[in-house]
Amino acid sequence: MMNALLVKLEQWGCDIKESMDRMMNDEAFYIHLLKEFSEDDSIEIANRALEASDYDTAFEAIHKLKGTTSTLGLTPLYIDAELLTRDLTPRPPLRETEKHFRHLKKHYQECSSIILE
Amino acid sequence: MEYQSSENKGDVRPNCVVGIGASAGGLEALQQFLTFLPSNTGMAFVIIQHLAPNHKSMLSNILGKYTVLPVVEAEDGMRMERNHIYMIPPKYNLEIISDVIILKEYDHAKINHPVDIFFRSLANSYENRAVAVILSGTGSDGTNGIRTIKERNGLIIVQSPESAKFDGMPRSAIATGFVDMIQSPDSIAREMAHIASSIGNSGHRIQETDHDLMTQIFEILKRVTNINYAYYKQTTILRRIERRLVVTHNRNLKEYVNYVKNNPEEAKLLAKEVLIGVTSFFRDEEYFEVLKEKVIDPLVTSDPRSKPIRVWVPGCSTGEEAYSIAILFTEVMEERNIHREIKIFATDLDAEAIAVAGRGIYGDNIIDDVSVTRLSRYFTRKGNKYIVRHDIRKMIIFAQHNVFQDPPFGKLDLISCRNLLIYFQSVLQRNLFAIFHASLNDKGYLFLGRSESVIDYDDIFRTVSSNEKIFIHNIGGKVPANHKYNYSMQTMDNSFETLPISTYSDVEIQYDTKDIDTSVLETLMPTTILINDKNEVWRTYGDCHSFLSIPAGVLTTNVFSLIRTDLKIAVSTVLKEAREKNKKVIYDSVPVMFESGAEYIMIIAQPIYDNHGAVTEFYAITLMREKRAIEGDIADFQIDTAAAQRISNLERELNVSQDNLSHTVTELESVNAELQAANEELLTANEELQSSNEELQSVNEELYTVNSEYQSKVNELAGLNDDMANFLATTLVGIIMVDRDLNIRKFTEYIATEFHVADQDVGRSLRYLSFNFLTIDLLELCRDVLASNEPIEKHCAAVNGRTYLIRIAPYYAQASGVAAPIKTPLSGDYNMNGLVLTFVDTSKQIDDQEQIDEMANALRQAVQTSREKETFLSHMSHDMRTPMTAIIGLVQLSMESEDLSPELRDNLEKIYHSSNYLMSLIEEILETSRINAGKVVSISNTIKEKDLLEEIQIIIGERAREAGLAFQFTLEGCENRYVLIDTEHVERILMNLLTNAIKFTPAGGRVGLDVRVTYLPEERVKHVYTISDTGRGISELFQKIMFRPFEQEYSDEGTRSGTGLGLYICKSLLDLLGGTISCESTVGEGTTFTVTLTYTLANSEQIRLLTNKATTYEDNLLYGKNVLVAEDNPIVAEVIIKILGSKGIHAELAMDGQEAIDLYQSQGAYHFQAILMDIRMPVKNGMVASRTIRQSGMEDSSYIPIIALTADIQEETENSCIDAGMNACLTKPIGQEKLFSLLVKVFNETLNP
Repeated sequence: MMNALLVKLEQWGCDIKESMDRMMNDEAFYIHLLKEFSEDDSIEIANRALEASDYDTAFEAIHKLKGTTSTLGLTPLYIDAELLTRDLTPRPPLRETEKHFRHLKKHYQECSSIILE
Repeated sequence: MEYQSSENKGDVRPNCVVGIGASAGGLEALQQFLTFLPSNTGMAFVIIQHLAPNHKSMLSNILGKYTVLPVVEAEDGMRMERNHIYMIPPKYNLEIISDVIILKEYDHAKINHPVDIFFRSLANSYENRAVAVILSGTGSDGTNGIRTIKERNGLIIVQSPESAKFDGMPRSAIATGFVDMIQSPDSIAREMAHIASSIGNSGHRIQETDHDLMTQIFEILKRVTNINYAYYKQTTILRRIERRLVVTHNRNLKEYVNYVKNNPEEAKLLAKEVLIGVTSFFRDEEYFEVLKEKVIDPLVTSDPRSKPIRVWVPGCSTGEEAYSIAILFTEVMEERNIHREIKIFATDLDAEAIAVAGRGIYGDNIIDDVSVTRLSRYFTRKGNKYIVRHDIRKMIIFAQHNVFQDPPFGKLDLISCRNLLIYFQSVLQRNLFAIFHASLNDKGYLFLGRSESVIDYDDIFRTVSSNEKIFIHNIGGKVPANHKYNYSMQTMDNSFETLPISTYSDVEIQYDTKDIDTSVLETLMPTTILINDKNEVWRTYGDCHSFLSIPAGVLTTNVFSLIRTDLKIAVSTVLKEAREKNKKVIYDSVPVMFESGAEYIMIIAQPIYDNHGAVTEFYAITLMREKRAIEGDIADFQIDTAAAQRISNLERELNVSQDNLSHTVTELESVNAELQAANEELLTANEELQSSNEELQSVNEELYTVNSEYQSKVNELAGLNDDMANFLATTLVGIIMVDRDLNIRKFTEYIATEFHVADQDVGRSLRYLSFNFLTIDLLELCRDVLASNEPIEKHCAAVNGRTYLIRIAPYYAQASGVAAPIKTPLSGDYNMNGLVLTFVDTSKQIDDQEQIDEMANALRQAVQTSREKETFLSHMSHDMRTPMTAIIGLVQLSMESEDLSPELRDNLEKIYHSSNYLMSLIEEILETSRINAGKVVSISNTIKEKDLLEEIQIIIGERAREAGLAFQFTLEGCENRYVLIDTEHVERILMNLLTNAIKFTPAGGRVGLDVRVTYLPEERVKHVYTISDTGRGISELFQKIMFRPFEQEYSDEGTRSGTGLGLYICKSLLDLLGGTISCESTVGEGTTFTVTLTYTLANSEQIRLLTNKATTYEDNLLYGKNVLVAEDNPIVAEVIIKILGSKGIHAELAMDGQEAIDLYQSQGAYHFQAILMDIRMPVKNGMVASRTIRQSGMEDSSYIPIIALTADIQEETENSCIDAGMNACLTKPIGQEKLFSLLVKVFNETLNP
């Protein structure tokens, strides 16, 4: 029986099956990384960087988040991060940056709530 | 016969030779081995398979089908060539000298070990370029041969026992401890390329100048074994390390040093490898015969006979040498009828070897070294083991001992030190000779190995037999100038604690009266000896030194051993009399010759009473040199009388004893003779039985091999027979086969119907048919072909009105009479046994030609259209999908805005739903298009039956619950076995049907999934899935068309839902999987779909692959490697390290590009075998880091594999990575399969450039 946290994440839209395979089917290890992720500061860094119009720093933070979320199978967050990296590539960044970022923050809160429940 | 190669292109000699020994079950193993064997290793392979001597082997033929390498039966004088496989022929043993094959016929009435024979010659000819492989088989053939391979630094690989049909030979070899690798046959084959490359590439040889690295190795070895190898012969150690390099897939010494540091187990294996001692019973048998004659015999017959003979065997390894010497001593003692006490000290550094030696249990491979007589006399056979007999075993003391650090044994008569000195440099050899010089008695013997000498100790150890390396110790000989006898005695550093001594002045002393009495008695009494009833001395009083002395030899307290010889009779007589009379007896005037002159003494013997006056066991014998007045009778001792009496008594006793003895001896002799006779008979019977047993075993193995060959051929023939029968029955071409006399042998059904030929016509002449052909003389044509051996073709007309093209060709068969496929040109091995007549109906040819052309054109156009349509659909769907994703995403975002008017929100919702619908349609069109184009393939996985169903159950259960429906799941008859299922597609089918059921069932209804499992014969299983619902149902009309694309039944509201492709896709996938689907439905009541699929049960190999992390070639290649992981994301890094760790790969982490560069450079060349480099990193990115590493100028910087890790899958990025010097790209997120597959590829490339 899969851990309840992973079931909830799967229902939320995460790709748990592939991620478990990547984690060598070690549920405890996977959950440990998820908890580590809940303390990730990439969004904070990106937030501060965007407020200061430091788009390079914001890009790096979101890029890092993209890597983490793809590794952990957190698909909704990964999609948000993918969109944001595209928004932040050109200079000036695309208009949708702010909206996408709000979306990302919202999804991150939902995800963290599930993990920390 | 001199064999000449048909190709003479330059040097064709093999760079190394692989000897493969196999017996029962070997055919299967060889087939597997050859299937995976690379074709260009440059090696030659010699297969030594146990064969029946009088049976022509078909192995070359059978095995030839499994490899592109030429498989030839070996011939005498044949010169081996690289990339060739040579088979041993029946009746012969095969040896090689240089690269020439020598065949020797063997006496198959005797036991023969062909694998041992070949391995020995292989080791002698190819030394460290020899590879011995032992595959399936019973017995122990090959076990002795690999000892020689080991001695000459060859490589030994054995099939893993669990993969072998018969594991006797593999297990016997493994038990020696000499085996380097244990793998399945396919993995062994895959190792060959690497082994060939390592052995052949002289650049990989370790040089003695790699001093620092060797020092590190010695330090590691010293930590593990507490031995300093610095003075061992370096070449020996280097060759052992080189072999470990090959086995552990390391390219050079630097990599190997890191490998040893990271893997403590490897340090132990290397230590064992270096210490390993190759020994056997009576090694160099003729030398032992000389030892027996010139050393052991003189030792046994030397005086004094009571003195024990002491022998030391340093470096005894597993004990065979020590036991051999013990046996020789026993034989000599039996032959000479002399008994001596023999003490043999057998020592070695290797505790495991000592443990083996101590057990004294050996495999039946020792029969090659120990004669049958000795086996019978000195060993006990239990199963397939020989156990040393107790009387031999108790002569030997085995101990772990460091010859340079532990105190040596002393007072030795013989030291046997064979093949130990060869491991040491001169300085250690001298040290050892100095120890031997101190340990051996004068005229003691030294027995060395065949290729050893006493260097400059030749005056100390003088030659007895130069060939056999037997020397005699000359204790007064001249020692060499630098002679130094030392060994490390760590315990001698401790100083002794002195015993405390108390001072008397301050202590008040209390005296015990009893002690004073005793002291007075002891000093002032005349000489008195207190004895017990066994004549043992308990106490003495007075000065006894004139009367008593301790004799040489074993210490004793018997008074008659201690008393002076000239008083023995007197004391014996007086004591006897005192005991008989039970009173004091006195003898006076007993003459004794003291040093000061002759004197008379008085001897008094009296019983001692206790405090209560009771007799004790004690008697006191007093010896007085002065006459004193004593109470009691005093009788002058008459020596003659006493002596005569005593002598008379003794004579009487002696006569009786002699009679008894004589009688006993006679009986014993008689019994002994009988026993000896019986023993001889038993010995003979035992020898015969053993001989028969070995023969039977040999014959059994041969029979098994023959049987396997026959079975293989029978299977092949059965297959061919079936093919032929089917072909004849179904082909629409007329074929008749006739013999040389033109009688019909076989024909096709087509001929039967065309010319009304039946089975009973077989054997009748062809002229029976020839009248059917108007325009040719069929028989004449046949005779022409028989004469010329050339086929002919003719057009003709037949009486049935048709025209035919007739082809008449020769029918060839193998000279042995077994039919062969037709081949041209005709070789000496084939006979023409008849003819094959082929009839092709050409009547409709012309008419059909235009029709065919038309159809071909139409088909080409249809295919073209289909392809165009497929391409269009594919591109269109793909191009539409990307913007659709964006539309859906943007609409979603927009809907979350709080500023929307209700109308705008409503419009957005409609756009959202329509977009989702369009997206599903596009996905399903794409899938349909792929299925139609045949791009969807079925790939099965090994999975447990319940695993697939559990997941579906969970997901559908949840969805049903959300839709307000009850979900019921039942499973019958399932044993939850492993099956091969295309899980992706089966899941898709079931999910489609169940999702539909949920969609079309209103809330409050029920959806069910029932699965019934039935196990079928031939490892098959049937699953019947019943998907039912209580929904709206499907009309009968629609049921007829529901599996067509884009067909949908209108709902009551007249609106469609879904794309109309779901059921079509299900049906298409089921067709692909070979399954069926049916439907029963009633409108308003519900629908039941029944899906039937049949799967194959997974076999043990497939299950093992899934469940067992068996060691494969790839696992071995990955294990122990060092990888630098450059990744700034800690979570991603943790996952990568965990994945690498699952295969035993060590990872070192760098968090940015500069750290990666620094780490690589600081650890030095060959520390890492690969680098995983993230592209986007702080400080320096992956591309810059990669370029810097490539330009660093380190020894491996130009070819260490660097693999880029990137989330960006564009071609442009990949090109940039390659330009930056990287070897390949891995897309994130990293999956273990892709990662390992890529690592295996790059490691293979670096090992085999």
